[in-house]
Formats: sequence, structure tokens, C-alpha cells
Amino acid sequence: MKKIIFIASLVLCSLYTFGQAETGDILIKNGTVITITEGIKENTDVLIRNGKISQIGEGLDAGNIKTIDAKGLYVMPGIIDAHSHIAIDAVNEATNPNTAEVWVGDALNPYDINIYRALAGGVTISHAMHGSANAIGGQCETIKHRWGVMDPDELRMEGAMRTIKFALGENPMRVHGERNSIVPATRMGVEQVFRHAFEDAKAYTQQWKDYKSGKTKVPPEYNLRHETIAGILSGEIMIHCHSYRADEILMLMNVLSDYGVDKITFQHVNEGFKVAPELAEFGAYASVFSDWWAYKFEVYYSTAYNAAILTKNGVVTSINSDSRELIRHLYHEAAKAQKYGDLSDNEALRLITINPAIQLGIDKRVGSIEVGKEGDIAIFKEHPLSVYAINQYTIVDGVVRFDTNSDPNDMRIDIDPEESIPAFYEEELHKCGHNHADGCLQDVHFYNLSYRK
Amino acid sequence: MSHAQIDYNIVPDVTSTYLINDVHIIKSPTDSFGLGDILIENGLIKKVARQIDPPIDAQVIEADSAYAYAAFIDGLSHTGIAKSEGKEDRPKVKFPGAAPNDVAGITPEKLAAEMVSGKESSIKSMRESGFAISHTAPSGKMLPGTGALIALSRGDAEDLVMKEKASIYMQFSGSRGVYPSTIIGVMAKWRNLYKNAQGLSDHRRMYKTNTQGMQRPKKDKSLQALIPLTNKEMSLFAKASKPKEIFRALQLKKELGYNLVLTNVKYVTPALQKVKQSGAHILLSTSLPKEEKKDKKSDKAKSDDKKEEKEKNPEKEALEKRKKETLKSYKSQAMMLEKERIPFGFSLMGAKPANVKKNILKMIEQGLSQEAALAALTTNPAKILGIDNVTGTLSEGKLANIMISTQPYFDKESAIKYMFVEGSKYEMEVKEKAAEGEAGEVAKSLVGAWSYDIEIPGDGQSGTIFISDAGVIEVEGDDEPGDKDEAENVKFNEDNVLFTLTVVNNGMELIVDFDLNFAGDSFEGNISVAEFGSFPISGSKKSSPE
Repeated sequence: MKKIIFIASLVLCSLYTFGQAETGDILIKNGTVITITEGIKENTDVLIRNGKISQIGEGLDAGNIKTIDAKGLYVMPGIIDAHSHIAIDAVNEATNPNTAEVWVGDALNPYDINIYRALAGGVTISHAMHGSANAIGGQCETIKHRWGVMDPDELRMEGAMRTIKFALGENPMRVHGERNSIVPATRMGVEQVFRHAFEDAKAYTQQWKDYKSGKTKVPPEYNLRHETIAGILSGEIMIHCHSYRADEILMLMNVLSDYGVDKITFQHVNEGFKVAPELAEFGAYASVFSDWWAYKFEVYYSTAYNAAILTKNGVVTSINSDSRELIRHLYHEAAKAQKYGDLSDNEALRLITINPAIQLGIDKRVGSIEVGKEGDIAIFKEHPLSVYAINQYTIVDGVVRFDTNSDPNDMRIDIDPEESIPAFYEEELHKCGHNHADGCLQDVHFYNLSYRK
Repeated sequence: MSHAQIDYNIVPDVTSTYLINDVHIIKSPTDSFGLGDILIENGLIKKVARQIDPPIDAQVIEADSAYAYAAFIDGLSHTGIAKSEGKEDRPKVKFPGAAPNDVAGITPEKLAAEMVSGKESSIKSMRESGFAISHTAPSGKMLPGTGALIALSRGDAEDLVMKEKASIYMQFSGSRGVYPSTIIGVMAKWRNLYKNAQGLSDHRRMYKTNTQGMQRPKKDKSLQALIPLTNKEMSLFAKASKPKEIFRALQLKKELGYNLVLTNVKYVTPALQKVKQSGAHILLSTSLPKEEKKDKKSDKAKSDDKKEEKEKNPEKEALEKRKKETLKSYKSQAMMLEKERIPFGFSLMGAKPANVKKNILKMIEQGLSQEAALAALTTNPAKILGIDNVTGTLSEGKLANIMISTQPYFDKESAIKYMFVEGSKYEMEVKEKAAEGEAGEVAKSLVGAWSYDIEIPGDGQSGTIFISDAGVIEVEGDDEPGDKDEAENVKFNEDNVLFTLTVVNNGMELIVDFDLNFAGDSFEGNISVAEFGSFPISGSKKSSPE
């Protein structure tokens, strides 16, 4: 009964607190506060008012608001995943080498249970990305894990920087070159897709300038694709690029230099350790797996020291999931990078907090526990880098969205009234008849020849 | 013309003047006139009064205190349009990212009005369920075409069309293999198309006043078809069945600013407030989720002990409970819309006209008022479609679109006796109601597995039909081995078997009626698919139970 009431209240909340995302007040008492940016504070209280951290200190009194006793617990900023594909209904518009105009923010799915599961792993924000089928994929969306909302709009992290997915190497080559015999069939072709896109966007911008200044009489044809690429050139949109090999990484930095683009995060970047000084010099960021590689030929060469080498070379580095499973234990992933590469606790935790925040352009708002920042918090039993760490509470904007003491079996918020009630495994089998190991190629049907009519 | 030997049942249109005598007149959902007469002349309602003397040329219909309503209006469906013949070959395109519009599913210029055929059986079945007007649109992908308003009467297609260009119909469905192929592609492409339609409209306007130094506007039939949308002469009817699609449709409306009608809405409750604020209109689907019948599979749970154990599984019970609650909220959303004062109509897209009343009665059971239900069938769709000045109520001067029911329509036992569509009379045979829930006995010879072949032009389908001795029928298509669909409404009558199957095809729910006649080890019969007509089916026995 309790379950139903809890779920019903979630649904009602979303019905009646319409429009703006819900914020809350909460006092977290006597925890070991890992601020990330201002050291560790023992026996300290954190007060969140209207969704923002309003006070950090000892013996805070906030009157009659929700209070969590964090004595013996670790209070850290909500974990941020700079690369995921949860909570979206489409990942790849794999029909053209350049689909800059598409935006996974159009396909948000607030009912994806993986949001709740990510919360259970302390993750409060994820970067929902387009896939890597195209050299220029689509625009991505940074979401807050406000589990329980029904309106996709309420999942968005309003005001977060706009980002776009690029992809190097075999994925765009296979999807377009191999399947359709069009550019790009080679790594050289991938480079040409970028250069063409930037040239087209420049020409497009000029056409509109000419029209607005009265030089031409007829407004140019509207082109959302060129307009989006122009947004990269003007610095409004940051590139997140799927990449493995060092040579290609250098290639893209050369292309970007030619067009004056200086904002980029390389994703996966498995050979990043080979070009770490070059990445640092360019000011590029890196978002990596802790110890996952060799899942295809172009990514056979990597190392579990990647994150550490990049970090020690001064590259802002994060550890991401790219997976609805890995997203539930990013703190373990960070701990692995520490185990191999001998990072300090703070360096390791930065990989999943402030560094991904920097890469998403939201580090002024989240990623550390500081007064004025948003009230996104994860509270762990045992140190988050310990193998014994278990997340207890996950708080988003001052609202408890996960509480391990109140974690009913059925947390779905969207029920199909015609569903058969199956065993979980059967359901999964039905959904993914084929292997989705590479989330970046989701929705690309070419390698799944039995795809139904 | 000879009046001498006319059988009025065969040639009803001998006169265009009718007097409906002694009928309860429900002029509109809020205006019940009481007993009176209705005079119809030349397709219009000439007079509504307590007592009218029959003009000399009038056929008098003794209504015997039946009930007259404004005939219903279907907000959007594919009525009167034949299902495209078989699977269309997808032409191979060199650049899937730049496929021609028609390959990419972008054909707003396609006119439903030119595709309508008076011979389509869907027109008759809609009419027999009380509808006099359908808003019909082509089927397809993202932008299948321009919708038309048609009268659901006999006659040539040209006679049926009331309004040739009534709407632009849009779906969030991508084209397989070419751009736009996904929801994100469709939404981006829509922004691009719409802004270019606006641009073309501006360009044309400027070109009219000043051609000096200006290129001529380009010819683009798809963009041209969208221009009436950009200047609000037309509305966009977007198929948005579930909340996510509704939110997406509202997002695009907010960005681009056209008039929007949410269509074929199956579940709106989570988006209710946003719909209200947006000013979008809404057409609820008349279909409701399938409800499970009890004890259907009881033959599977052979052992009583096991059965009991199963029933006590608390996890399963909890899941079932939530499913039931959800089902209830689907049924109560019409009531929620009424409570929020959001006027809505109904859309019969993919729905079975014969189920309309049954499903609306379920909504009424959940608190929808009869007045609101009637408004959703008459005055609201008339307003949404911009034809409330000519139809939707039984007012003098309006179209003689009248439905006459033996009892108040929302009584369970009521039946439609007459339909008038623009003054043409149709008389329905009122059947004695068959006893409900009688599935009949299963003949032993039918039990087993039967192969089947369905002849659909260009797209034959085959598979297996399983009939159990308990009368459960399951169908497994060869294209989806292992995926058995259970049949509903199963009726055995010796060698004749009737059942329905709900299948999902390209995201569209289709209700398929099977009518099979068995003889020895083979069978023949028909399947009919709502709106798309019927197809022959035949098959033979594969195996009998051991």
C-alpha cells in the first residue's frame, strides 16, 4: 500500500507542480562533507533552500524542514556523467553523415527507469548524447535526474550549455561508406565532412548577413543544419567528439584550429594518453572509460592508466558510462582509475563531479559543494571510493529523488495498460533481440539485417 | 420518374423531403426539445416543431417516440481511403540523407479528397455507427497529406467531399532508411520545412508587389501545401497518442506558433494542464486499451495447487493492480478533460466504428457526463473542424445530418434505426441482441494447429492459428515466430469461427476481424481490417493434439 501511495504522490506532484522543476529545502546534518573544491569538512551540516546550497557549517538550525542525519556518512556532490544515452527515445539519425540539426532533447523520455537506477548510484546529472553513426551527429541534452516528472521539459537542465556530438573513425565510415558507398568511407572522408560543414555554415551566415544589410532582397533558405554548425563557430555550442585513435584526435584539433573553434571534449579518447600534452596545450577536455577497450579493432590499444596520465598532464578529464549499467557505479569506476594511476582521492572524485561539469559548461552551478551552487547531493555509507560504498540518498535541487530506505520494487511511472506481466529477462530479450553493447550505434539498423518491416 | 412500384427500402432517395414524425429531439447536448417533428428538405433541416403537417411530396417516417440526435462527426480517420496496395517498394536512393520528399514521407500536397472512394466499406460502417461526416487524411509517414471533410453517404467521391483542403496531417513517424528516420529527425525536419514555408510565403507576397531585382519564388509543392498552416487558414492535426508525443507536439506548436489539433490521443492525463495552457484542441481516440478476460488461460494452470500459489504471488498482484489503475485512468481521462473544461472531440483513426458506443459508455461509467460525451461526438468536432455553422446540432437551416436511435443513444440497449446524411435516408436493420458472452462449443475437429495464408495484394501473409479445446485461439505470424497474439471475442458456431485480433503495425493499432469456415482439414474465409477492407484467408490443418 505504501508503494502505491508513494507512486501516486509522485504522479500527483508532477500533475500539479507544472512547468517549473520542483526545488526543495533540506538540512543534511553532521556528515563528512567532500566539497571537491574546498577540501573535506568533518561533522558539517549542509543546508539547501529552494534547491540551492545556502549554508555550510557546524550546528546549523533551519527550523522545521526535512532533515537527514548524515552522521558517519559521506556527503558529496551529485555525480555527473558526461556521456550517456539514457532517457532518450532516439540516439542516431543515421541517414546522413551530418545531422547537426537533430537534437536528442526532442526525444527525452522521463519515464525511462534507468533514470531512477542512475540515481541509485548517486548520479544527479547526465549528458544525454546523440550516437556516433554520423561524423556530425546531433545536439545533446544535459538532463537532471528528476525522477517522477511526467513532462520531458522538466528533465532538462535549463540554461545548460548547448553541446553537439561529433564522431571519428569506424562508426561513421561503416554507416555511410560501407553501407551506402558515400563519403565518409575513410578517415580522410570524415575530416572532409567536418570541413564541408564549417564552410557551408560560414557561407550560410554570410548569406543572412547580406540579406539583413539589404545587399540581397530575398531571405535565404532557412537551414537548421547550417545554423547549428554556425553555433559551433560562434562558440555557443560545444563539441563532444567520439574518438579513439591519436592520429584522428590530432586531425580534429587541426581542423578546429583552422576554424577558430576552441571548445571540445573528446569522448572515449582511448589513445588520449599518447597525445595528452597536445590535448592539454589545445585546451581540449577528455572523457574516458576507466578500463574498457578492445571491443573493436580501432580501440584495441588503450590502458587503465588513461585517466591518470591525462590528469597528470593537465587535461580536464572525466570518467563516463556510455551505458545504463555502468552509470550506476561511476564511483567504482573512479576508484579504479585511482587504483591503477595512483590519483589522490580528490583527483579521483573530480573525475565524476567537477570535471564533467566543466566539460558540460555547468561547473558554475554544480559539481562541488559550495554555497550558491545547486542542491545536488549524493550521500554514501563508506567512502565513495571504497569498494564497500553504498549510496543512501540522492538529492536533486534539494528534493530527495532516491532514498535507499524507501526504495520499493516497482518504481515505474509509466504503465502500459496492455502489458503482459513478464519475467524481467524475457522483457529484455524482447526489447534487445540483438546486442546493444555499443550504445553509440543504437538505432542504426544496418548491422541488424533481420530488422522487422 | 415513376412513383408506382417503389420499394422504399431499396430506393430511399425518391424524394428529398422527409417528415420525421413523433420523435424525441435532442437539438444539441444542452438543448432537449422533447417530442416533436422534423422536416427535411433538400438536404437541410427545414423545420423543427411540435407538430408539422406533412408537405405533399414528403415521405413520412413514423419515429414512434424514437430519439433524434445531430449525427456524429469524426475528428480524423482514414475513412473512405483504400489501404495502399501492398507494400510500396522503397526506391534505392543514392543519398539517404537527401531523399526526394515522397520517398522521405513528406507529401503534404497529397489530397485525401482525391483518394476518397464512395465504394469503400469504411464509409458504410462509420455511417451505421452514427457518423455523418468524417475528416479523413491519407496514411503515410511524417506528412502523409492534406485532410478532407467528407459526407458519409453514397455516391461518387466528388459528391462526398465537403471541403477539399481541411487540414495538414502530421505523424511523428520516420521513414525507414532515409532522412528523417527517427523522432529527432522528424522534429528537426519539421522546423526546417515550416520555416521555409513561411519564407516562401513571404517571398511570394513581396514578389507580388515588387519583382525588380528579385528572383522568382521557387516552385515547391510540399512547401506550398504548408503555407495555409503558416497563415492560420488551416490547422495542423498531429497524431499524438501518448503523453510524450503530446508534449513534443506542444513544444513544436510553442516554437512555431500554428494552430494545433492533437489527434488520436489515447492518453493525455499527464499532459492535461499543458494542453489546457497551450490552446491546442484535442481529439481522443475512441479505442481503449484491451481488457483481459478472466480465466481465459485456466487450462494452462493444470494443477490446482500451482494455481493457488500463482494467485498468491504478491509481486504479480502488485503489478496487476497498477495495470488496473492505469487502465482506469485511461477510461477516466474523458471525465478529466470535462472537469478541466477542455472541449474535445473523438478521432476514429484505427478504431472500429462499431465499438464507439461501447467505449464511450465505459468513459461515462468513469464519470464523463452524457452531455459532454454527446458534445464530443457533435458540437465539439464541428467547432474544431470549423463547420459548426452548418452542422453539429439539429437546428433549422443546418445540414440534415440526423441519427435516430430506438432509445436514448447512451442506453445500453439502444440501436440506430435511421441515419440521414445531407438529407439522404438510410435505414438500419435493428437486430435482436444476441446473448452476451456465449462463445459456443468448440467442435473437436477444430482443435489443433492450422496454417493460414492471407491474400493481400503484394503482401501475402502466412502463419499458424492455434485452437485449444478450451476455445482459446492464438495466432502466430511467420514473420514473428514465437510471438503469439491471443484472439478476442471468440465465437464458435459449429464450423464457423469468428474472432478479432489486435495487431500493431508500424506503430498503428489495427483491429482484424476473422471469419473462418472450416470443412474437414481446411478452411476458407475473410479477414477484415478496420478502414482497409477485407481480404481472403485460407488454410489447412497442421497438427491435432496428441
